[in-house]
Amino acid sequence: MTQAPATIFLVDDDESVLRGLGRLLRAAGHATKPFASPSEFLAQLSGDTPGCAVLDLRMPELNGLELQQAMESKNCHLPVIFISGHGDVPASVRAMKAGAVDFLLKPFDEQQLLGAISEALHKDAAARAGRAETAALHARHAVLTPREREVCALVAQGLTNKEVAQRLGTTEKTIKVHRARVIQKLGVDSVAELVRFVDRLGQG
Amino acid sequence: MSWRTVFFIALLLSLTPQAVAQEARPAGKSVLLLLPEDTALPAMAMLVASLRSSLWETGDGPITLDVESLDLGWASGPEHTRALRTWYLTKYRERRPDALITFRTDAIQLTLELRQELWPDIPVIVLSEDERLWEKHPRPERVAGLLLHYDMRATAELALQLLPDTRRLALINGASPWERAEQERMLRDLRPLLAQRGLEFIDLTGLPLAELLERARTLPADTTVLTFTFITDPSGRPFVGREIARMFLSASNRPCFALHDTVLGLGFVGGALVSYEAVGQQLGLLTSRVLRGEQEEFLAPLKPAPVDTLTLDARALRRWGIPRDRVPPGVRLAFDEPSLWERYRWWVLGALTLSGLQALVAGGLVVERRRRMRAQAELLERQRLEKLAEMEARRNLDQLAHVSRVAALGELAASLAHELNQPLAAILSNAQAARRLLNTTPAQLDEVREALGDIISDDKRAGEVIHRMRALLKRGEPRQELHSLNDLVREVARLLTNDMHLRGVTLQLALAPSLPAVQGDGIQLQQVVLNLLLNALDAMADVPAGQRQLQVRTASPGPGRVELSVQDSGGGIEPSRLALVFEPFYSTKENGLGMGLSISRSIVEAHGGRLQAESPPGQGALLRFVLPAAHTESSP
Repeated sequence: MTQAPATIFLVDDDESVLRGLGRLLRAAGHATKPFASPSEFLAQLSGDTPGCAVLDLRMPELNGLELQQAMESKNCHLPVIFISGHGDVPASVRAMKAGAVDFLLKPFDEQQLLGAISEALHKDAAARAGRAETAALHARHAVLTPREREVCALVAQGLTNKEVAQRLGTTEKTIKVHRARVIQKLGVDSVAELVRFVDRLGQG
Repeated sequence: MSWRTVFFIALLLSLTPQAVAQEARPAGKSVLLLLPEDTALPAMAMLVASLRSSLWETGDGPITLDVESLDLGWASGPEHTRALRTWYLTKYRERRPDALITFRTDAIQLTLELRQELWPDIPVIVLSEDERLWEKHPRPERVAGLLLHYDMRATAELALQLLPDTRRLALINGASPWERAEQERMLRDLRPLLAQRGLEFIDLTGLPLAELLERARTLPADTTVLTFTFITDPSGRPFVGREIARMFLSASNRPCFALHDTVLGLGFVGGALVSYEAVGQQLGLLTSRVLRGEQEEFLAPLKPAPVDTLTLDARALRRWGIPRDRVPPGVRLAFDEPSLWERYRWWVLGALTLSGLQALVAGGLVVERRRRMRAQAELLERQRLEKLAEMEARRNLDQLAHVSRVAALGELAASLAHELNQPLAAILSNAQAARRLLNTTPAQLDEVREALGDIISDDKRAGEVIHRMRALLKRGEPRQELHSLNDLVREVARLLTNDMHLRGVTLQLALAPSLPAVQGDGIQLQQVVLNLLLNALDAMADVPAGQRQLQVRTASPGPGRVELSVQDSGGGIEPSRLALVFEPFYSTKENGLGMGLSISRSIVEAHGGRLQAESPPGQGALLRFVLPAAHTESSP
């Protein structure tokens, strides 16, 4: 996890809109990076910068929705806010379905924009924290041997030691030893906590 | 007579003007004729003259005939009726009419209304062209009448006898309510004949004057033209019969037949011509009998009056090459006399020999001069009328052009809204940023200054969009001004920049560095450019993005000429459709109106130029217009 400050990425082919937007966000205390075309933005995109993206919906080479998909495919999870000069309802519906935080019609008020940006930044921070936690869980889970992973999965399903032994064709005693190691390696205190760990692992 | 007696009589006079008026003119009766239309119409003038003399000849003493025009061609309604009532009441207070005469269904109705309120007890003599007049409203009391029939059927049959090759009958008629009603009656008469002979009917009724003349110029070869009247065209403009008759006679490429004898001699072949002289006489006879107190006429209120005769113009027969032996017996031939020269040739020759060469020369000069003056007067008149028709066509074009401009801008509405919202968004962001920057300590004045600079330029940018839009939406008198074609093209291209941007179209402007100026209406010329560019953009909708290219060039293809061409990279126009694209209401677009190119061509032609479509194989469509350059030194 990097410690870089949150950055607002601005992409709009209209230079004066881009300048005004950047000025407003900087005056409101945000760090911004303006791009006059989608390709410039995609070229500069690094894997994991915290922040959010404000994209113009209609640009000549690549429209906002296509840009959003390109970001996903480059594994960039920045929350997106769309801005548009058109009252284009179908496009806004598609944008929201594709996971955009907000859809603002030009000209928009600073309250609308700043509200949407703070929502997006929260969302980004939460997603980022979630991703970090999942990564830690995976790291701990990776330490288990293949046999221990099998035992871990079956115990989490609620099977008794005896049932697990039968399923894996071994003795109850061996299973007890495996289980103790699993609990120790994963750093959990009880079977109940083990179940919760596997649950979160599954979701991550 | 004493003073007092005089005063007493004066008092009596002022109290009972009607009785006294009758006493003062014991034998003098007066009749009021209410005409439906302008008294200047030749038919009306003829009828009034004939009626007047008939009243004098048949009456028992001098009969005063007052004539009023109801002007129904361009005024009607309760206000009009009220005004007429007040006016007639004032005007005829001292000379109350003894009878009213009127004709035509609409005038009859109005006259009966007026009588009801003004002089309910006096008789009315009507001349109706509608045999079912009393079916719609029961006949009021003290109304006598004659029936006048415009015999279109007899006229058509006569025409067919003279021109047996006729396959099509065209009918010319005006658009006033009365003319329309008459037309229905005439069609009822004609329909059996059309069916029986298998003739095609060409409807030239209710057209604007300019269009009527245009159609008359290009009638198919086997057409015969029947005319009724043309008092009013669909715009409600009133016309005077003879002048109009002259206009469409000179326009028509086919022989024309008429129903009125007042236009005989103008060039009509003939027809069952109603003689307004006879109409006037009949009316006069009937009126005299009514004034004498005869009652029987009131019992048979509509009797057909024999007022039309099959008549032909011998000179028109010669002109259209119609053999004499086709003229049916009993048909009157007008102008069938030998000319003066034919009749008095030997006398003239003898006189000439006697008076010598000098007289011959002098006489010849006089004749020549007179003929030239007459020809000149006729030419002037024709020019005046042609100019009128041209002005009307131009006015129609201006109106159409404006409507189509508004429609074209409607297509651009989404793109223009976008183009306005961009600067507005930038302005709002900059203004709000500036407010925040002023609140920081220390205030960031340099940044605020920059924000204000951006606000100003964005405001100007929005203003320009609105200015360009308003210029095109403006509707005014077309102006004749000098324009640079390059500037006009640049303006339109700017208006479309955003649209082209969003459609992914690349524009290549190749403007000639130096072009002569053109003269005309800048807005209309821009409209043509706008239409051509919009069409080109639409034509490229199916082309893959990245291959949408629009080339616009200006050039001077020859001295005194300026050219604009617009080429797209779309699928082109099928050769069979090249001629169709300029037809009104022809559109290849699903929701296209089909007026753009048609109007564009009219505008270009009104500016003395030509607009053409080409479709070079393997390339898109190429639209090109050439305009004459203005007579002035060249401007960049």
